[in-house]
Amino acid sequence: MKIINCAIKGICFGLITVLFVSCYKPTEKTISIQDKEYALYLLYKDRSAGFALFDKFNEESVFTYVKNPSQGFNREYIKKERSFYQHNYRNGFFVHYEFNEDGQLAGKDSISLKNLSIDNFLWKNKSDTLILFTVDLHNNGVGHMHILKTKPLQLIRKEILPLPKPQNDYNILSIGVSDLEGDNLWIGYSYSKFTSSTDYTTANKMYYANFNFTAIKEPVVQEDLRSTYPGGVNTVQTYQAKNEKGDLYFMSCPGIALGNTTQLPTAIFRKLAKSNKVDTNYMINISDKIGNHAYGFWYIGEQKAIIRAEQKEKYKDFAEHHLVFQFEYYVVDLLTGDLEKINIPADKGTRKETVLIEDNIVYLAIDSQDENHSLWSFDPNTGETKHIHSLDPDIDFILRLDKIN
Amino acid sequence: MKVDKALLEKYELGRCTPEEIVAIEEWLVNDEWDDIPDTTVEAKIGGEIWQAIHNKPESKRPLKRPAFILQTKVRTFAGAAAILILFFYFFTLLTKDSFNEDHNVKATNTEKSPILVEKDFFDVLLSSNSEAIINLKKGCISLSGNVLFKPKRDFSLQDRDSSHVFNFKSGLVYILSKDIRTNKLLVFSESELNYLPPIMRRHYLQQFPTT
Repeated sequence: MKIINCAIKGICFGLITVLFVSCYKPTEKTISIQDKEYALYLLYKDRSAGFALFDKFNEESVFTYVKNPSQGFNREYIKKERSFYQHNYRNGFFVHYEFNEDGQLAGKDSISLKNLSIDNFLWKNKSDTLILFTVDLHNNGVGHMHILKTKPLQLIRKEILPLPKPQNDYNILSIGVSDLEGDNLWIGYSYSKFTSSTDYTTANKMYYANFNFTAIKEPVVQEDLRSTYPGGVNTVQTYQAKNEKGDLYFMSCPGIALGNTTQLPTAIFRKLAKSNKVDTNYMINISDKIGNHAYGFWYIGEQKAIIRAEQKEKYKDFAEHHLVFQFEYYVVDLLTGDLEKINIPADKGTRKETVLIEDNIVYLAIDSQDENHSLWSFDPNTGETKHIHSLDPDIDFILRLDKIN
Repeated sequence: MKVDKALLEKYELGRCTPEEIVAIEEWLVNDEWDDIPDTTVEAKIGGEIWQAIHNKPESKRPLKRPAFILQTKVRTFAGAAAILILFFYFFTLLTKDSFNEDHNVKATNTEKSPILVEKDFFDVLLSSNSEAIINLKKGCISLSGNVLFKPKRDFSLQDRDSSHVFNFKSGLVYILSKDIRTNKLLVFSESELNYLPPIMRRHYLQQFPTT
């Protein structure tokens, strides 16, 4: 009888062990990247960073956390389909990354692009040709255009941007918006200067230059005094978009986080399709309407866009600008200029790319008070917002929300 | 004095008075068992005690032993302490120059390219026209211009101008920048560089092209 008992116990133990082993799946080994549709890029409280991959926007969504591919990797990546491109300013390499079978982002290819800072990028006519607009680190007033084939990575052309030299001591170039229609290249830029070793300001003027993309000779330049610092670095945040008709809308960002000329208004401007000039009769003065500056502009369809606005009474200086739960999201009607606040908690983080539009629903990733890092949805048709999912409380900032498949 | 089991145990433990010791030793020399009733001390026990006493010649002076141990310990500790104090004194004398030098650094760069100053406790890369005075003993820093600062251990430094205290962690690289207008010292880690306005980041990348 004792032997039978022992045998039964042994069989039970064996079954439990087999069951346990078969159920246990080490996270890092079993990620199927094919199942993951979206990626959040996260900065944790211990200052480490990485991705959280997930399959759908709902409560049951399973999140897989993936480490940074390298120590120097940061949020400033250019994403196209399943490829990620990033310039490492430490070693001057522009690297192509892709998620491998283990679900880890791994370097695939690289080229050397030294002594430059990427201000803006665009894909040439939806092809695999990437155009980078860069500013020289040795000379802040000089801009270049680098044209790269991305499969495989190859620099096929490099041109100096023959922009007219600034008339005064404002000589730090910032290229904030760009567009290529056929052979017509258009860029929006501004000039800044340092007022002390740690502070700067931007001249009260926006410039728009039109080039022939093939020739890149003397551009036709339009000056616009209505605001300054058009757009911003678009590897960090989006500042421009085209509507269904091809009209280009962009937002100026003279606030403390970008242009730092706060007396000028944050405003939305447009360049109509087939036109080489910015429409001087069109301007939505955001600062007039909400009394604050904004950064980030995402077109959501049907002549509406979302902007992300700060609250100046909530922060003391730039040092705490990113720490304060102050950012509000507004829907802007691009035809009427009306603004409507989206009913979600106040967000933190100075510049973020955490707005995604899919099937007429807007998804937002928010770092709100009480350590709550969560995904929200917003239906522009009904104005309804919904909390979808809360994430790991060890997160400090959700910096990006991207569709990866 | 009657020698019994309790007294013998006391003797074995070294707790007897001089009178008791004399009594026991006389009893032992006497080699008789008359004084001790058979019921209280068995022959076996007596034999063991006898054996134990003969194997321990110093057991004749049990009372003196604790005093002796105490004195020996005091002497040993005193000697060790003296040696340590002397060793520390000579070590301090020998290392005095480098100790002070590494704790109190004044580094200036009037050249166009950055200059690296390496010390035991930190490295400093000074950009053009920058000066750093760092006193680790006093825990203070005075700065003009921009420097890259790499501590090799954790410590805090107080800005002499603003009195603000900054905590530095070993292994991280910090950018220290003095705002002449406000006289404030800005301190941020190299990874935080990515979160500055693009113009500021380019400014620091230009200052320290080797980063």
